[in-house]
Amino acid sequence: MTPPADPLSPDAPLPNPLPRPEGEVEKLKEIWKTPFGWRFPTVVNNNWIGVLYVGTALLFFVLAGILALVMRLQLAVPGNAILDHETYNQFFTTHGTIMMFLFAVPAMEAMGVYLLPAMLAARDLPFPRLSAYAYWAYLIGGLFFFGSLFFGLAPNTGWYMYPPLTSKPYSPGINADFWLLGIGFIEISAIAGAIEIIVGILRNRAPGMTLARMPLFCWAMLVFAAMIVFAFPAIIWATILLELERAFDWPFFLPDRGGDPLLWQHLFWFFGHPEVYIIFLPAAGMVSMIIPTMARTPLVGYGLVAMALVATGFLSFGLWVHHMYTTGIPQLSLSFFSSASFAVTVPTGVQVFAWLATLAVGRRVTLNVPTLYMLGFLFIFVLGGLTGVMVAVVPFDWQAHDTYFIVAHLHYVLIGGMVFPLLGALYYWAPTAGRKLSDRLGRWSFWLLFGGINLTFFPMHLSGLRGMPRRVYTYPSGMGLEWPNLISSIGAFVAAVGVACVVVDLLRNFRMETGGGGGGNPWSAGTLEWLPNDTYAARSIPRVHGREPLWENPRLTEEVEQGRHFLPGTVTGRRETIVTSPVAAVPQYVQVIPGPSWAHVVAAAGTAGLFTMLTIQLVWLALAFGALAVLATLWWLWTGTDYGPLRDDAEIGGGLRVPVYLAGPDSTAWWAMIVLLLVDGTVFACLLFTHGFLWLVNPEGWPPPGTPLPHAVWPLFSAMGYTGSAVLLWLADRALGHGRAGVILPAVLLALPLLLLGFGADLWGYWSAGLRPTTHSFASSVYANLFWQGLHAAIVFVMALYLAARRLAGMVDPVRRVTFDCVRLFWLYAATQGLAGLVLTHLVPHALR
Amino acid sequence: MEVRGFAPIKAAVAGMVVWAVHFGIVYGITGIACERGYGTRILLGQPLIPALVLAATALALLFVGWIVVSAYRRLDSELSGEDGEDGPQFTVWLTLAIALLSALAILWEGIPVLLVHPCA
Amino acid sequence: MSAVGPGTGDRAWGDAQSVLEPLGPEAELIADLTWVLFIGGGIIFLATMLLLAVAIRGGDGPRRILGSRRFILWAGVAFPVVVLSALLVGTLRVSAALDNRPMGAEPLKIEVIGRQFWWEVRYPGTLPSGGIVTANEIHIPVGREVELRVSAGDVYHSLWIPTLHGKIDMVPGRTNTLRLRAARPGVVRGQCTEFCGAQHALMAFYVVAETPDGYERWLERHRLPAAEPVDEFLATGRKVFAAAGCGGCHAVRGTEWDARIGPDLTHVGSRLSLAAGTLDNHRGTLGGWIAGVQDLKPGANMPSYNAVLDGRELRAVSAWLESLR
Repeated sequence: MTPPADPLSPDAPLPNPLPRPEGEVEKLKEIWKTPFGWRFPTVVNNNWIGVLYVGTALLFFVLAGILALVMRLQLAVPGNAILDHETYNQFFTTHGTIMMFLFAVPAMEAMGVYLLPAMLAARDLPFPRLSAYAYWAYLIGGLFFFGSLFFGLAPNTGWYMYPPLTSKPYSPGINADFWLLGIGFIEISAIAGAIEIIVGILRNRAPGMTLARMPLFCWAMLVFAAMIVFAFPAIIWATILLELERAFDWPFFLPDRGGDPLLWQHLFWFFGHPEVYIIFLPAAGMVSMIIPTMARTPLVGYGLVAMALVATGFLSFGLWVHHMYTTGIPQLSLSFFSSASFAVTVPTGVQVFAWLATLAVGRRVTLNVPTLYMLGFLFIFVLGGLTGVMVAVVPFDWQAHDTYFIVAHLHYVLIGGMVFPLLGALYYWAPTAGRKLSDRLGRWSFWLLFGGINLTFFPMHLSGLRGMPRRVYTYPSGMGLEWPNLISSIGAFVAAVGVACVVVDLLRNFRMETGGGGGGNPWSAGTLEWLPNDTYAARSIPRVHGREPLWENPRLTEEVEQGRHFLPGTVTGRRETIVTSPVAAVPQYVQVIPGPSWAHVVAAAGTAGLFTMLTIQLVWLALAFGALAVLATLWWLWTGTDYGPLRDDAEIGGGLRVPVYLAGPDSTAWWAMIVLLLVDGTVFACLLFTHGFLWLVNPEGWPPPGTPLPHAVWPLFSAMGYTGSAVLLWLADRALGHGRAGVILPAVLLALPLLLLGFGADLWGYWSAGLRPTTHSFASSVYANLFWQGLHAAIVFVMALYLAARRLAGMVDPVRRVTFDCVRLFWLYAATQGLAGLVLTHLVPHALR
Repeated sequence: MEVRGFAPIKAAVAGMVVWAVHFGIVYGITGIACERGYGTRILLGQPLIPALVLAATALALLFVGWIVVSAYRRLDSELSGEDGEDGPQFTVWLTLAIALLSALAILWEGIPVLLVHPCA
Repeated sequence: MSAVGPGTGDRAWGDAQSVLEPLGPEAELIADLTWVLFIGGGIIFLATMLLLAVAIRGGDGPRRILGSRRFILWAGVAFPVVVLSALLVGTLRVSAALDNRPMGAEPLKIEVIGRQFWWEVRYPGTLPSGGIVTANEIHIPVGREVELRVSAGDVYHSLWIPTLHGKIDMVPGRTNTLRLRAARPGVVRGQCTEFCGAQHALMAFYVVAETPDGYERWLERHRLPAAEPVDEFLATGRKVFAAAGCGGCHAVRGTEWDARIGPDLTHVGSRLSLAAGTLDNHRGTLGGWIAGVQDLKPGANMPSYNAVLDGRELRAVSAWLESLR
């Protein structure tokens, strides 16, 4: 008897036969129903969250754009008095901050949230409440931040916030805190999104969608998310340091007490450079989807483009000092960054010519609105990229840096490289939500924007080289700056009309059909997001054999709609999606995912409240919000995670029976925790860098002579505490593996005080020795480590009690152990990090003495 | 071909990891040496910083070269699909392509020591 | 109140702050490099756009060539690698030519300290007990290598004289060095190029490249202490200066005032501008500045004196300051 064919093979019969059981689709519709009315904020479906997210990002784009318009009015003529210097300084700071943090990155995350599940034919993202939480926190925080302008309290020191200008002596008001605390926690949103996207792309693909067949937008988003994991920690850490300096006078950046302003710059730009590629790569991914559709041919050089995306992601981490060429760093050091800046051009060039080649292969390309935006992107972005190569050259950058030449360059690459693709993407993918946007308004918007952007920013190359610095509220007459500035200002208004066209079009024509996907496939595209989809995405999850499934199999749409592919209904009566293996996309289990709830909304409001109230120094109110956030998060975790095996293995089609619950290293929760720990570890790496850098720039002694160091007994106790608690958790894990769940409670309740005492011993050691954080950068670095370890101890505390509660409620056992595993992973990390911190702050200073 | 594993992805980025480590080392050596005044020291008859940077570059190129060669050997054109097209060995092809680009980047990282005076 | 410099006098102010009008060999080297980059970049841009046009509207033959993986590798890998390798080597050589290696002849050392929102300029070793201190203006002799040693007194600033060299950051707690040389006499303008607070936009300065004799004469005059008042009116002005407490911030060498909080005024009358390149310099603008600092440059560290000094006092003190050449 011949063995059954591989169910993923194209020769095997379709996974599920007809006719489908009665009520299968109805049940699907029912459990995936969108909450409406006053319950609407509980929505977690990625379609809705994605649309809200994109809409909010566009709102911030318009708000920041209006700020720019007023700035251009001010700069239209020299010596203008439309804005006074203070208002102008707040405007340019918030313009940059909003564009970078509240528009660009969120817009790309939003497109990911909206498109990825559909493109991968997953029913939703793996942790829907997480992206919903990220959205609400972002909305509230972003509006609060923007509101600071109306009180004259907006930050006024540039979006990059260099100390010592942003240190307390020179920025005594709370303006800087709006940035540090207000934007700081939005970075948490970005990281939450990144975790979601990495796990979703690697584990929630349609069966048979190997990495080689994955749409390039998914490759781009995978790189995007991985970059966020390693870049955002640097700015989170820098933000923490500056806020500690401002609030408590810990002198990280103040040279008179061993600090160094360059520390901020290294940390900021280590984030800041990858940030711009974080913004660009998803847009490049979108271009790689739109151009093949419009050219009606698969992308030429798919593998090369995938390679280029990954290479760009890595190389972009080696460019950061090119923002610091003028700081006095030695030539050779600068040259390494020049080399890397050149290197990153190569993969970018590969992508550009891949797009060109695809356009050349295709039949005569119709110049519809998305295509126009693609062509506009190519023009503007390539121009910006070439000026980028120019400023990668150190001596040239010594002239161009901090002048309007850079303003020209950055806007060409960001607007060309991100805004144009985004607008093209809106016109392209609008039918997946409901219906096409207006062709006429789209064309008007394109030409106005194309003309306006070039008119605005091209003259800036000239004004920069004629000596106009950045961030100036006025400039002198007679230096040849009048004409370029006037033309720029006119161009800005032309572009504004273009943006207005888009806004009007979206308001009038964008439709979110509750079922979704009513717009059909008007461009005859080949990828899965064009399957008809309802709230539950596609009716059944297709088996994939190639890169353009809809082109390879014209009957796929019908087959999927009829439920003949995988998981055509629900096997547990709840919302589910299939989890597959990371490379070959073989189904591994069915993941039950949570539905609408208030928990994460309250958690988002609480988180936002904590940070915003701290900004305006209402500390008790902030702490109350913080407590609310913690409680709401616990409620969210309790009701929305680790459901346990709701039934035995289920048949999803093609003879495949898979579990509906998986614990261990293959579970998506484990993967999410690993990604979180990568973020965490990167922050700790920044902490290590902080110590190393400050040591380097304090040759007179670091620790400075006379610094009190603790008696060795304290780090010893601390190490014992950390190690002991880790060992207990490890033992509990082994016991659980042998079925003995009873050890969990005692292990946790013993390990927790050990960890806390371990931390306490470290803290007491330095405090009792007499070291105070305000004396010198060494002291503040030691206490920064203590702050970080303390934060982790507090998190472990909450986690431990949560785990204990779940155990007592009978929700943790040898099978149902995802919660235990996640807590254990974090706990072990915290203990290890604690030990590393001890080596850093006890062993190393003694060795340096 | 791996069904459950993550290893092919780790292999694919290996070349870039070598680049990143190399970059960190050469920048770190130069930064520390210049800041602490070791820029004029001599190692085995050569100025210290260029000697170390070139050694690191040579080592890194050897590593990446090994990745290139081993990926190339494993690559069976039938399974890899034609040059990065859809095939079961796509990740092996990706490993090779990324490693080649990494080699270029590493080489370019090494060139400055031949032209620019350290710590000036 | 007119803005100083551009537009006044017979100097070619229009290009006084232009990267493309170098006054010295360093800036010249960078300007040449700039042209190479511009032209090269321009050619590549036009070529790429041409290829794009062919890709979407060209004939079948050319489009067949463009529509291949081989084309991607030639245009996107081979061509950039060749061009960028050459560019890397070429630009690293320019970098090397502009570095701060120890050199043969001793350069003229000038210290510049950036402050919110003005420039303190010192010439160490020019006086028996230290050196000349001036503000918002740097005089250098043509043909001699000058070493600017820059730092910051409060926040981060950046010193930029586009016609002479690229910019160099003024980092609190560090001293950075910039070596430059003027090839011929002229007056050029520089500006702060790192956002430093409220009036970053109005923080400029002038560099006067003098003939060697002219420089020596300038130096000699500046070595002298402040001129004594030659008439009653000027003497009154000096008394107003004393009574208003100006000496609490401003030094005037040759008097009892030696504070360093604000610019040194020993030879303020000889400078080209006031308020760091914001205003012309004569008794009218001096009076206007002292009276209305916070209207002309709000956020500057000097208060307005219109409530403290009346018109007569202002005229007298302005005349006295103008006489300090």
